[in-house]
Amino acid sequence: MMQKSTIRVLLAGAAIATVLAGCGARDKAPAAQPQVAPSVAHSSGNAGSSAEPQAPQSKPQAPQPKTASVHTYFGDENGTGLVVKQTTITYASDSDKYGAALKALQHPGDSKAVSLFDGFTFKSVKLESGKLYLDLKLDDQARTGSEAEELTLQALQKTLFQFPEVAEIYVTVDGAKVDSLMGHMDLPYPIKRSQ
Amino acid sequence: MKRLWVGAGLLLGMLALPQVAMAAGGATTQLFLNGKPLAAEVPPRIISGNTLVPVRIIAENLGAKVGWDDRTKQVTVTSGATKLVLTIDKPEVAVGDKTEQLEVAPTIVEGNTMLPVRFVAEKLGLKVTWDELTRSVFLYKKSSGTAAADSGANGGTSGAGGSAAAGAGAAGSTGANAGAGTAGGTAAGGASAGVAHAAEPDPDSKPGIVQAIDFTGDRLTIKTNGVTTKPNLFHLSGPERLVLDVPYAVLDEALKAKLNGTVGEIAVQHPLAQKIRFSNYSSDPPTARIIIDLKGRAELVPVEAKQLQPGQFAYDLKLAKYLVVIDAGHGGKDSGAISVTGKMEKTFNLAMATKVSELLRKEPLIEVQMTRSDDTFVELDDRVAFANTRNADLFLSIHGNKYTASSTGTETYYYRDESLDFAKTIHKHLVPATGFADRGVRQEPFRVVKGTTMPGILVEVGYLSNKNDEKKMFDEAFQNQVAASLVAGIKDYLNIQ
Ligand SMILES: [Zn+2]
Repeated sequence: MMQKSTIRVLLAGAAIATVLAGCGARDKAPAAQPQVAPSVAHSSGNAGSSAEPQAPQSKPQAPQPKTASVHTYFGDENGTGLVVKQTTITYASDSDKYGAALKALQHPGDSKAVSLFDGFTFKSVKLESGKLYLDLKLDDQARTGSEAEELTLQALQKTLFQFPEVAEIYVTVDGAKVDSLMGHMDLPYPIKRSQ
Repeated sequence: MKRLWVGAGLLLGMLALPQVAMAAGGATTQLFLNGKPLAAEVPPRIISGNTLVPVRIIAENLGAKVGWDDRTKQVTVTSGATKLVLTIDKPEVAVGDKTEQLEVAPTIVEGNTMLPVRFVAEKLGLKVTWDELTRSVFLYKKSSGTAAADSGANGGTSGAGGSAAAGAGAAGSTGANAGAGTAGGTAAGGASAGVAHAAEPDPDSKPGIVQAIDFTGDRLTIKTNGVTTKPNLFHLSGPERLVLDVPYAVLDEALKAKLNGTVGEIAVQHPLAQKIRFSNYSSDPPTARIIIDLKGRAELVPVEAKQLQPGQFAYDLKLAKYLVVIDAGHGGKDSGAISVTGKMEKTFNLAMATKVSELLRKEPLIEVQMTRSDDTFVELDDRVAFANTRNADLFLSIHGNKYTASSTGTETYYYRDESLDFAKTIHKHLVPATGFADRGVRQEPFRVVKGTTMPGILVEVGYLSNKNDEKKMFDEAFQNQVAASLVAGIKDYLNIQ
């Protein structure tokens, strides 16, 4: 029988559901609304305050790094669904925020979550008027099985589309467009929010 | 005035919305050009006894240029000196500078502009007949020159004559013939589009005569007086039957005497055939029809002309093979996953696909083709196109999985609902053969199972990231066992003993 991937939300705060609902990655029947179950927050940051990424009030002209609380997505232990966590990222300027969020995907922080981006290098991450250009490098160990590739694409989209200013994602590998990231799934160019 | 030329393909996309239109009686009406079915995604419709077909058929197969004026809702059909202007929902048609009345006005059905085919085809110089037996509309394009008919009189004893006629027909033809080559559709063997078309005889000459129809052993032999050309062979399903139309020919008196009404029957004892029927199904142009009613999947393989008497045509009735496409995942620059000991997924996939294909080649009812048979890179869309253009019956993609070191087990993926039974059947055989954990039949939009048009699945045999799974997956005996299970699953699904 058909098994739908499940999304476990290890975090309090119902507002998260709104964020997730806007970026359903599945190219099939609408995924079930993610369950929002109170649980242990991964970060000690602003869990439960707001789902929207937010930079704490930065002091004008102060060159010190900014921080934001963002959602990060990992594979579950079974490899059939995503685990979402809240993570505080630190970055120098606003344009570095997306790269910082992506790098956080490589640090699941506990053994129940699996990084879907091991072996990935985020070579360049640029946002230009709603278009996020992401150039990747994939090491040998980055290539996974078919289902994990699907989860990887979901995690990538959910992570980047949580930022309302990101409308489309233009993914390249070593500077070139590719039909597929790992040889199982389509890689649309661009990836749009509806996909 | 905004005018889009359909011939240029601009309007086609808009007009060719997929839909299933049914004839009044519930059976789908089929359309044939010179005996060959026209592949239309929108079947013809019958309205008040008139068959309406999508404008695409006219543009692509009858060689006419079709224009559309959105403001006036007018369709302009032009071919040579003939110009027709039809208006949606209006029975008046401008034919050159005259006006004629249609029995049924052109209409738009769910986005498709539908034109009355008989009226338009006849104005374009085609013959149109209706066959109640098969609920089919037959269009006949006349070709120029009697050279083709003369070569037909040689009855295929001269291969050189046949191809020369084809050349002459093409040379003498107008643009109206351009569509014929693409109209082949599912026409089986023997009915090569170009030759059949070019050999269309001059309607003013005397028709050929079908003297005898014989079925002995597996062989169907049609004896003619040598005036007719090679029969057009095609396949109809629901129920399964093979049809041979002998163009420009009539049954002789002895055969006519055996008709019960309009159709005669020949009883046969054959594992694949129920009976043979024959008729003079059309008198304009005269065409004799022979139908083999089948018990299951079968095909007619033409017998070479040099083995036959002049004027004879013969076919051997054989089981139709299933075409199974085996897809070894990844390849070339795409290594796929790297295993726990550094081996490549693409190597495992190719070894498995090769073993499966070798076993399938021993199956008399199965033809197998591989999307890659060596270490080359093939785009996902090319794998899909490989299976779709060959009209394969089944598609099986073989992969090795990777996740965490503790992940283990076998998975079978499908995407389209029509693939679910195939996925379940394969999985049932595969899991015991791997001995790994059963991780289920799952639905995911992987490109190759999403894009293929036949039952298509992807198996993840086991986890290359798991020490135990990986060790077995590169073991020869394990691979043979798994290959045998996939073949058993394919045969199970196809109901082959
Ligand atoms: Zn793979």
